[in-house]
Amino acid sequence: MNCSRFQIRLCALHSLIFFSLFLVVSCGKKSGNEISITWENERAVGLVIPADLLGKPDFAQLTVRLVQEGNSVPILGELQEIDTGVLFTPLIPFTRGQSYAVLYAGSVIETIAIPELPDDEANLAVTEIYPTQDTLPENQLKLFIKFSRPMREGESASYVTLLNSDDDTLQGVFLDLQPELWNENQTMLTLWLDPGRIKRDLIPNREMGAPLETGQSYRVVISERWKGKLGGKLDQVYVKDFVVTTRDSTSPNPLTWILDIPKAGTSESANLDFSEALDFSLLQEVFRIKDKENQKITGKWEIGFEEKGIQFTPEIPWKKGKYVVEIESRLEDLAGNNLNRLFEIDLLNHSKVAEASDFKKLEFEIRE
Amino acid sequence: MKKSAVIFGVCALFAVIAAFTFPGKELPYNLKVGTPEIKSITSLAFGPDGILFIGDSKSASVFAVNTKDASSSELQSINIAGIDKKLAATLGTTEDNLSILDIAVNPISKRVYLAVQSGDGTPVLLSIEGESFVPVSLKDVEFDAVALNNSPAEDAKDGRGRPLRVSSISDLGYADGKLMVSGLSNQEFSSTFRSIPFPFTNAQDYASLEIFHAAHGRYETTSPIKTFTTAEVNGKNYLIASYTCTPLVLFPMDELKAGTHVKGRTIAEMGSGNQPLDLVSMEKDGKSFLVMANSNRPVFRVDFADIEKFQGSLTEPVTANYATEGVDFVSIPMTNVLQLDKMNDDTMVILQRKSNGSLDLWSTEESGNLLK
Repeated sequence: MNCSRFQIRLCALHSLIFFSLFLVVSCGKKSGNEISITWENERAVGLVIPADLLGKPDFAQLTVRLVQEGNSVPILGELQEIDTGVLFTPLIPFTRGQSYAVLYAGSVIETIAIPELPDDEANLAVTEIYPTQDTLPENQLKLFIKFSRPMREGESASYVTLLNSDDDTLQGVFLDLQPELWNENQTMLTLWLDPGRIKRDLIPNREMGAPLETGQSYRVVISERWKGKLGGKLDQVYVKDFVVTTRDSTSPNPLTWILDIPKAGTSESANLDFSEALDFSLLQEVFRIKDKENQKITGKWEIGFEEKGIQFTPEIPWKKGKYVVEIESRLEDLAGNNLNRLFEIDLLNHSKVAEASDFKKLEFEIRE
Repeated sequence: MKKSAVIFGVCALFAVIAAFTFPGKELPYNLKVGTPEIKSITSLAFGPDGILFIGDSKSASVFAVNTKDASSSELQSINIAGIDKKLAATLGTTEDNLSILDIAVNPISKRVYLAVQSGDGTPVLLSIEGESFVPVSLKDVEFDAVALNNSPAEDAKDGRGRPLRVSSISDLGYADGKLMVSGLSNQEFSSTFRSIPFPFTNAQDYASLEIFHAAHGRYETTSPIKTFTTAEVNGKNYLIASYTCTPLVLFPMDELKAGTHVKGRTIAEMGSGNQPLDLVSMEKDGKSFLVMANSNRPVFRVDFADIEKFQGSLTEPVTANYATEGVDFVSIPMTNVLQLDKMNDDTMVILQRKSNGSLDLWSTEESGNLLK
C-alpha cells in the first residue's frame, strides 16, 4: 500500500515538473514575438500584439479582420497600449473556430485562429424537461427545459418542435417570444404553449383549436443542432413523450393535500403530497413553515417525484408544538390555475369563488 | 518645512476659490456620470433631449443614457441590404452569431440605433451613419437607472438554489414625462405594466397594473402586453397595446393607476398563430394610422378615424360572424417585418427579411403609398 502511494506521489511530482516545464516553454513562446489571445470566462476577448513585433505602432494603421473570402472590413474595437505591447479589444468577443488577420499598414502581420471549445466542454445536454410526468392536461400552459450549460438564446423556435402521433410537426404551438424567457445563467428556458389558442373563444382558439387534444399523444423534440452560448452544441436529439388528458379547470386546494407530520426531536422531512403535479418554477419559491411564534423555520425544500409533492428538512430537529405551512397563492398547477383563481374565469358562471388572499395556510401540530 | 506649509496653504486657498467659482455642473434629469452595468440590451426607446432608455431584461432594469445626440437633423434615407452580413463583418463574426434585438430612431436627430447581441450574449449598441455602424460607448456616460422591483425571493439563501423567476421587458415607451414598461414573467401569465416618472426618483411608487383581457364577455384572464404605443383618440390619450394572444386593446391613460384592475377595450383581433412585434402611430396627409408588425402576418395598418368611430368592444359577447369583427385593418403588402420604428410622421424604418433571404434595413419615404 505504502509503496503504491509513494509511486503515485512520485508520478504526481514528475507530472508537476513536466507541467511547470511545459508552462515555461509555452509562456516563453508567447512572450516572444507572436500575437496572443486574451481569455475571460472562456471567451476570447482580446489580442495582444507584442511590443517586439511592432514597437510603438501608429494605431491608425493597425486593424484586425475576420478571415473570410473577399472581406476587407476592419473589426470595431479598441486599441490600447499596455506593458507588453498593444491590446486590441473587439466590441464582441472573437468567435471560436474563426480566424482573424492582424494587419499593419495594409499588410497581414499574423493570422490567429480562435480554437473551438475543448471536446469535454463542447457536448451539451438537456438535463430535464418539466413537467416530468408523461400525462399532461389539455390546457397545459408551459414547459421548462433545463440544460447542462448556458445555451444560445433567441433560437428556440428553430430547435424545439412538437410532433403528433403521426410524427407531423405541429405549427404555432409555442409562443414565439423575443426576448425568450431564460434564467440568468441561460440554463433554463420557459416555453409557453400559445395562450391565444388555449383561451377559449379567442380567434386563435376558434381557428386552430387548442394546441393539445385530449386522448392524443405527442413528442417534444429538441434538436441536436442547438448551440451553447460559449460554443459546442447538444450531444444528441432529446425527446419527451406525453399523452394528453382532459382539461384541468380546478384550482389546487391545499386543504386536500396530505401532510406527513414528522416526529419531535428528529430532523425527518415534512412531506406534503399534492396528488397532482404543480408548476415546477413556482414550487421552489412559494412555501415556508413557521412556528407558533411566527418565526420561519430554516431548512431545505426539495421537490418530490413528478412535482406532485414537496419535502422540507429542517436544519435543527423539530420541537413539539404548532406549526403553519404558508403557501403563496400564486402557486399554479400545470394549466395556470392558481390558489385564488382559475387561469380562465368564466364570467357567466356565477358560482361562489373562494376569497382571494396572498397566502393559504395549513396548520399542523407535532405532538410526539 | 515652513515653505511647504505656505505652498500647501496657497494651493488649498486656490482649490477653495476654484470650487466656489466653478461649481460642479448639475447634469440634466438627475443623471450622473459613470459606467452603467448593462447585462443585456433587449429594448430601446427614446425619451426627451437625446435620452435613450435601454431595457435590460437580464438585470430587470431600465437605464436612461444621455446619447448627447440632440441636434435636429433632416431625415437621411436608409437602405442597407444584407445588414446582418455587414454587421457580422464589422463585428468580426458570422451572421448566425448575431441578432438585432431592437431598433429605435432618435426623434430629434433621426439617427437609427440598433441593439445587437452576439451568440455569447454580449450586448452592443450601435448607431447608423450612412452605410456604416458607429459604436455607441456606454463607458463613462451620463446615466440613471431604475430597477423593476423584480425582487427574487429572499429564500434564495434558503437552500433552494437560484430563484427560477425570470422577467423580461417586452416593450418600452416614453410619453409626457413617463417611461412605460411592459414586462413578462415565466411564472404568472400576466402583465406587469409600469408607468415610471422620468427623471427617475428613489420612490418606487410607480403604477403597476393588473391587466385583464376578456374574450367576448365570457372568459377572462390576465394577459401580458407584448407591445404598445400611445395616441390621442377623440381628444383623449390612450395606451394602445397588443397582447401576446394578439387582440388590440385601448386603455384610457388617465385610468392607468397603480394597483387597479384594468380591463382594456378590445378593438380588434388580429388572427391566430401570430405575435405582435411592434406598434407605431403614423401620420400622412392629415390622417393618422396605427401600424403594426407581426410575426406571422403582413404589416397591418389601422386608420385612427376607424378606431375613433368604433365605440364597441369585443369584450361583449359575440353574436355575429367573428372572423371580421372589430375595427377594420388593412394588410400592407410587406411580410417578414421583424422591427419597425417611426422616423418622422410619415416615414418608418423597417428591418425586413426579404423573400430572397436578405435581411434589409430601409426607410419607407420612397413608399409613401404604404400609408395612403
